[in-house]
Amino acid sequence: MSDSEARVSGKRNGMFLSTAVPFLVGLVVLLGFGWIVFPGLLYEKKEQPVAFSHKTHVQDQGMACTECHFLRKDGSFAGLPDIDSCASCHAAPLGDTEAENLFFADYIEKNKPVPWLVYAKQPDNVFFSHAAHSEEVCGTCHAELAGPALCATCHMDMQNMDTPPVHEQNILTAYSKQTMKMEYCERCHANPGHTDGSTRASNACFVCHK
Amino acid sequence: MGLSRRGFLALAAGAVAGALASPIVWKTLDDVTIWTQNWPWIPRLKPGENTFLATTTKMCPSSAGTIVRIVGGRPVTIAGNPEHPLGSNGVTALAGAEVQMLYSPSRVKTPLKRMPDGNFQSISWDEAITLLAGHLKNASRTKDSLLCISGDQHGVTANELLSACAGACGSSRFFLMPGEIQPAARAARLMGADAQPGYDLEKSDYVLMIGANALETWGPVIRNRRAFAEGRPHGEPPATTWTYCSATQVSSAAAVNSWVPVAAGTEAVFALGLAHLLIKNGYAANAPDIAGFAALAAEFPPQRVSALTGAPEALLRKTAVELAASAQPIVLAGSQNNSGAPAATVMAAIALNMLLGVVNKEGGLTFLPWPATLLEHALPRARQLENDLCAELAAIAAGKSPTPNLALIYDANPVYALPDKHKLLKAYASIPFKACITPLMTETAMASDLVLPLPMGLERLDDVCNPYGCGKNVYSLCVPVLPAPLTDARPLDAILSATLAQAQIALPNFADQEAALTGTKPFTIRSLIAARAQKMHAKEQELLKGAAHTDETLAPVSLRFATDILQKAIKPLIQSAASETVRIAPMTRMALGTPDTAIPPFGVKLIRASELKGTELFALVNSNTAARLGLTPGCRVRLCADSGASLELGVNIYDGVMDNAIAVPNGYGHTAFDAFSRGKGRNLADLYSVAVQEGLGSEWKVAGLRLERA
Repeated sequence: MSDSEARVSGKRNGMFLSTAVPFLVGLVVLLGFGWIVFPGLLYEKKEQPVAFSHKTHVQDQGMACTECHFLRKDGSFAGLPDIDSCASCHAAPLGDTEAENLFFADYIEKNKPVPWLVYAKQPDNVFFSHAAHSEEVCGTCHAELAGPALCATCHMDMQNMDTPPVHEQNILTAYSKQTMKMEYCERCHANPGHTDGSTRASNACFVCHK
Repeated sequence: MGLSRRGFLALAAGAVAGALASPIVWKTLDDVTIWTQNWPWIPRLKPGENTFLATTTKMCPSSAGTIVRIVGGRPVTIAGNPEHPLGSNGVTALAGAEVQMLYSPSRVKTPLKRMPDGNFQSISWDEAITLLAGHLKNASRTKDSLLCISGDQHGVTANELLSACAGACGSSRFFLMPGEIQPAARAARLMGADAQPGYDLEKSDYVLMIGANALETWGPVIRNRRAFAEGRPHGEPPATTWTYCSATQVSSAAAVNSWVPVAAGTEAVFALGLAHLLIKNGYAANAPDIAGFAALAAEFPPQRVSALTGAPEALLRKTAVELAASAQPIVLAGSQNNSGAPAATVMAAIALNMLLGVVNKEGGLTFLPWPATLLEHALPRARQLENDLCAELAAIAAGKSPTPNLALIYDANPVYALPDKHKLLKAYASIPFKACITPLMTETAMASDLVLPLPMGLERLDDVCNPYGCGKNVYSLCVPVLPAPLTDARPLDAILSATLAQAQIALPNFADQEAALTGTKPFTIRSLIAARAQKMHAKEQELLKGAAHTDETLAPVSLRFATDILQKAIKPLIQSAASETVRIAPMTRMALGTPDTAIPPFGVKLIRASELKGTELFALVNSNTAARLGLTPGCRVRLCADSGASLELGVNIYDGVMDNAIAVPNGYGHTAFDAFSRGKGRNLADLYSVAVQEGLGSEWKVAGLRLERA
C-alpha cells in the first residue's frame, strides 16, 4: 500500500468512525430513552385510595367476583360496588388491619363514595357488554374460563393480589396503562373461530362502537 | 475532540432512527389521538341502572302517555306508552324532546325581577314572593283587578289553583289561552249541551276531519294516530276511511283516503253543504228545530258551496255519499293554527253528527261530563272555557273593561301567540305589573316584571283531564321523574300558597264539605289530585305509577240545531268567503313546538329548506295561484291585512296548496328562546286580527288580505 493509499484508507476509517460512532450513540441513547425512560415519563403512578385486598375477599372469604361486580337485572354491568354495598358487610370493622380501619373511618362512617381508580376504563364510544362476555357465553367452549379466570382474561389477576396494583395513568389520555386496547379485543373478535358457533363474535365496527 | 458537522448529523440521524424504533413517536401519536377525544366540554356517559317510569307528557298538547327511560337516576329518553289510552308505541317530536328540553338554555334558573334599566336581576324566592304578595294584596282590594292567564289547556288542578287564587283575591278574570276546546265548548253550550264534546275515533268507520289536522296537531294526536293505524292494519284492506278537508296537504292529508281542498275559514260552509246533501238524502235528527236547520242548509247547494269554499262539487258530493254509506261516521272540526275554529264551524260539525245520528253513540260524537270543581272560589271548568281572553283584551283595549292592576301568567306565552298585536298586546302591556310563572324564558317572560321559574313537565306533579278530542273520560298524572328540578324552580301550589299567606289572604278550602273534613291541606296539587281520584273512584297509587283512569260515562244531552245562532254566526264567514280573492292557510306542525316551547331540539332537523332558509320564511302557493298573482319561486312578497298588519315572506311553489290559498308555516318568528328559534322566520299570528261576535266568542281572521311585491 502506497502512502497515498494509506492516507486515503486512514481518512476513510476516520470518516467512518466520526460518522458511525455518533450515529450509534444517537441510536442507542434514543432507543434507551424511548423504551426505558419514556414510558416512565408518560405514566403517572397513582395509589388507590384504599388498600383493598382482593385476595382477602376472594380467597379468604370465598367471595365470587360477581358478588361485588354484578350484572343488574336490566343486563347492564354495575361495575364497582357503591359504598352501600361495602357497608352491607363492613357496617363495623371486621378485622383489625389499618387499611380497613382507614376505609371505615374515611368512607363508611362518612357514607362517602370511594374514588376508586379504574384500571379497565374504556372510552364512551366503546360499548363493552359484560353480559355478552359472561361464563354462559365464553364458557360454552372454554371450560377453563370459569369464575376469576374469565375475569382475568381481560382484567389483571386481581384475585391473587393482596394490595391493589399501582394505577399508571397516561398523562395524555388519562386512561390507565392496564386498559385493554382494541388489538386485544381482536384476538377474539377477529378470530375466525369466534364468528360462528355459540359466540358469533362479529368484528363489525358497530358491535362495539356506538 | 469536538463534534464535526458530519458527526452531528450522524448523531441526529441515529437519534431519529432510535426514536422511530422506540414508542416515543408512535405511542405519542396514538395517545394524542385519544387525548383529542377528551375535551372537557364533550358530554360523558353516566352509566347506571336502567329504570322506566310511566308518566304523561305535559309539554306536548298530545297529552300522550309516555315511558321515560332513566339511567342512574338521570332521564335519558322518552318512548310512547301503548298501555295508556292516549299513548301508543310512538310519541310526537315535541314529547320525544321533553328530556332534552330539561337542559334547554332558555330555562329560567332563578326568580328574576325587572330593574328600572329594563334588565332582569336574579333575586331570591323570598324577595320574589314578597314582591308578588304586595301586588296581589293591592289587587285584592279592587274587584276583578287580577287577571290570570293559564296555558294549561288539558289539566284541571293547576287551573283550579289559579282560578281559586284569583277568586280569593276577588277576581273572576281567569282565562285559558285560546285553543280548540273553547269554541267547541261554546258551540256545544249554544246547542244545548252542558258538557265537553268528545270524539270516539277508535270505534268509528268513517272519520271526516273538517279543518281538524287530527293526525298532526288537533286533539290527542298520538291517540288519533293509533286509531288511524288500528283501523288500517298493514297488509289488510283498510277497515276505516278518513277524509281530510283543508287548504293544504299537510300530514293528515298525506295519510288519509281523500283530501278535499276547502279554503281556511270556510269550513262551516262546507259542513252546511254536506248537511244539505244529507237532508236531501232523507237524513234528519230528532231535534225541535230541524225544519229551520233544513231551511238554512238548503241555502248551501253544492254549486254555491264550491264557489265559496273552493271545494270541487264532485268531492263534496262524494264525501256526502261516503258519510251516508258508513255505519259509524264521525265529523270533527278544527282550525289550522290550533287557535280554535270559529264556533260556527264546530256548530256545523255537531249538526252533521246530529243528522248522522251518532251523538253519544259508539264511534260517534260523545259528550263528556265536566270535571268536578274541588276548591272554593275556583271557576268550574265550563266557566273557565266560557271566558274568552281575546275578547277580554279587546274590551280592555276599547275601554269597555277596566285594566287590571296585576296579570299572573302561568305556563303561557300570550305575547307570542295572541293575534292582533297592536290592539290586544297594547292592552296587555298596559297592565301595570305582570308576573310570569314559566319554565322557559318566553316572549311573555321577557315582557314581564317578575319571572318565577316553574319546574318542567318531567319535574313536577301535574295532571291531564279529558284533553279535547278524546272520546271518553281520561284522567292521568304527570309524575316527576327527577327527585328535584334542575333549576331553582318551585311548583305552582308552593308559589301561590306562599304568596297568599304573605298577602294575608286566606287559602281557599275544599268546596266540598266532605273533602274539607279529610283534614288534608287543600291548596296543594297532591291533595287536589287525591281528592279528585277519590271522587272519580280512581286508584291514586296507580295514577302515580303513570296509569290512566278511564271512564265511559257520558253526559246526557238534548241537542238542538240553534239555527238562529248558526245563521248569525255564519253570515260574516260567507261575506268573507265571497269577498276574499286570496286567503291565508296556516300550516302547523307539532315538530315546530308550541308557543310555550318554541322549536324543540328534534324539530330543527325537520325544517324544510322550502319553508325556512336562514332567517327567511317562505309562503307556499300552487302553480295556478303563482301564475295568477305573477309570483315566481324565490320572489319576496308582503302580505297585508286590512288591520294594518303585514308580513314579508319569500315565496315557493308547492302544488299541495289549493288554488287561491297562501300557505304560511306556523311556529316561527320567536324573539325569545334559544338561537335555533330566535329570529327565524316570522310569526304568523302577527297577521291575524280578532273579531268578537256577541255570544259566539272571538274568531281569528285575516281580513282583506292582499299581496304586494316586497
